[in-house]
Amino acid sequence: MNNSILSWIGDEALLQSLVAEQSTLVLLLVIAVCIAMLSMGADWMIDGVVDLAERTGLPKIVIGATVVSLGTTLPEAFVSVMAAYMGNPGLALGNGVGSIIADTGLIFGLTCVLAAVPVNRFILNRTGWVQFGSATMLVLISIGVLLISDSEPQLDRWVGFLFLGLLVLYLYMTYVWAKQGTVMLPEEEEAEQKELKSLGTCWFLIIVGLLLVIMGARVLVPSASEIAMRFGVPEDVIAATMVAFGTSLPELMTAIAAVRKGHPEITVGNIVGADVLNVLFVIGAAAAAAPLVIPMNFYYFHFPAMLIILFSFRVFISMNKEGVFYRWQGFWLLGVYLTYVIMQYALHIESAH
Amino acid sequence: MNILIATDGSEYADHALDFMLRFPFPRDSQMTVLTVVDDIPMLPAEMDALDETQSEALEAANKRLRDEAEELVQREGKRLREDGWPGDTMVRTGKPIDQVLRVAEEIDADLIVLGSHGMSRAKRFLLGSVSDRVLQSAPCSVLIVKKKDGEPTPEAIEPGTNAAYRITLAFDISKASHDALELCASFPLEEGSAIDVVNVMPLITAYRQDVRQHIDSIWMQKKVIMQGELNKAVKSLQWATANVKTELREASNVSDEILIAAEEAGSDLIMVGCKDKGPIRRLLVGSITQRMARYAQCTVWAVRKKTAND
Repeated sequence: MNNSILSWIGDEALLQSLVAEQSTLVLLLVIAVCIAMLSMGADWMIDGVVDLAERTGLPKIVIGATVVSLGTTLPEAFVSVMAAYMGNPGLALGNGVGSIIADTGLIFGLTCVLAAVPVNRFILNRTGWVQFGSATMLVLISIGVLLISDSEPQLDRWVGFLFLGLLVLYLYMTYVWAKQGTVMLPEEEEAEQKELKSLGTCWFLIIVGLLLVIMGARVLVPSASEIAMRFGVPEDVIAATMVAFGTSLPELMTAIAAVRKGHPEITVGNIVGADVLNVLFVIGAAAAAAPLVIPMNFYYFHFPAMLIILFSFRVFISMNKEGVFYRWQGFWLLGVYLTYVIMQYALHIESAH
Repeated sequence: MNILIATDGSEYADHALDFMLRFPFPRDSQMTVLTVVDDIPMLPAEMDALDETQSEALEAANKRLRDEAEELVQREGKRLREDGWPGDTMVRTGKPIDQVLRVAEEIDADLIVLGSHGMSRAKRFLLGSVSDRVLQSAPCSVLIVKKKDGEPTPEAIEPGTNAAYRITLAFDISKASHDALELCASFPLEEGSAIDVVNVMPLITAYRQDVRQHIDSIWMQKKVIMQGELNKAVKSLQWATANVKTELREASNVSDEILIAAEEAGSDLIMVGCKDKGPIRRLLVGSITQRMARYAQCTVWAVRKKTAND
């Protein structure tokens, strides 16, 4: 009995057949549970790693610029890598691109509607341009492979490794910019040292968190793929909507907490940073794991939607002389996101019939 | 200051009156003592079913309750008068919370005073309390006087004099906070009193965003601004007492951190401004004041300034 329960972890065919046997309602429930596991696992992992890093004396600047930034994109990364590994490139790429659209359109849009978000020019004039640049680079490379390739366009492994290399450079630059932008003195940092978790607790959180994220991703991928088939929509549509929303839950929960506590400014850095990592880390890692075939849907739909949202964002930044994002800008971003989601299902359900 | 003291004759209400006699309220304040009699509850059908003897017994029981209530308010009124406070006494019949709020409106009270039992967190969470509900609906400030189980009776003081108090003033840059600051600054505090002005900047610990907050330039700017506001607050309070200090803290749970600060300082009183929110905002955001009033071990003064329209 134990063998059959645990064997699906390694046996893909068994996992797929188990998933196929479930009713649609159960599958949707399974997806919700997997998303919860991903979110909770990422939270625990970050908590453990941060305290472990602080124990080693690593400065908060380095921890904040690297660990914490990467931490909230762990769910996306694990899902996309798992999807690439399991032969679902549409899901892998859709999750990455869909997360950028969800982060900027839905989460940032919602935050601007609920609160006055300051225009942090220090972040937006640095990381902000990397955000726009990395997404544009993804689109340009994708168009390039479409034009030069005789067969299906795909992001080869070299693109994945290129993105991962740029990721390392980006993390270093984030550290440099954070050092420039903060005035925290070493004495202040010492004074702020709170009681850290024990080593045992840190490792427990990291290991259990990692297990939750891996298991969550492992089961989410075939479940989402099965749901796509049952709904009669392509995998990338499910990935770019349902899965992307789910894996963006950490960013959403952080944004809501920031609004509740009266400090929405943290959302700017989070969302902009998450968008960069969705390209360099999520799509980079997925492409490095296995080449990602780019469905045509991306050229007609996902990439244009992503560029519209990011372009709007850049226009708003240059418009906002008073130093805050306006509520109507939030509504615009939300509107683009909702239109994108609705249209995907409307178009594909029509074409399926 | 027009003060309404609601009493039910319990040891907690007695403790509240002790607080009133020791705290340096402005000498021109009016104090009204109110108790509410909740008649023995019976449905009209049940009343009709009673025979003459039973009706008379019920009437006698209700009369006894009202007489006891009258005795209570007269006793408490006498204690106030001996301390030099003129004031009225009132006995009303009905639901206690409704009557307290109604009388507060009628006499245009600036402050409602209630005694409160220091329940455990679990009990408070499950049961709520009268003071919770009065705090939510009162048109004015509410003073919730707490008595911890086993707390010794405070030393007796001369009638007409006051005791020294250690006050924790929860402060941010809101209007409600400034109202609380203004009120605190108006008290003629006794020598030996002290005020700790505390601000807690909220940290977002989900996904350890607190680490990013600490390296965010806007967060840093906000801290500098807040320290400046705390220093200004000290200047406003220095005529009330020379012993004023400020504390700028950071925590995920603001209300808990203020309570911790008060406990560490050994405060007798926490003062906090009430930021009145609409029902949806209250549901989404909650109320720091209510959480503090609910879980504080010491007395809490929730300051709510009446507007011109009230």
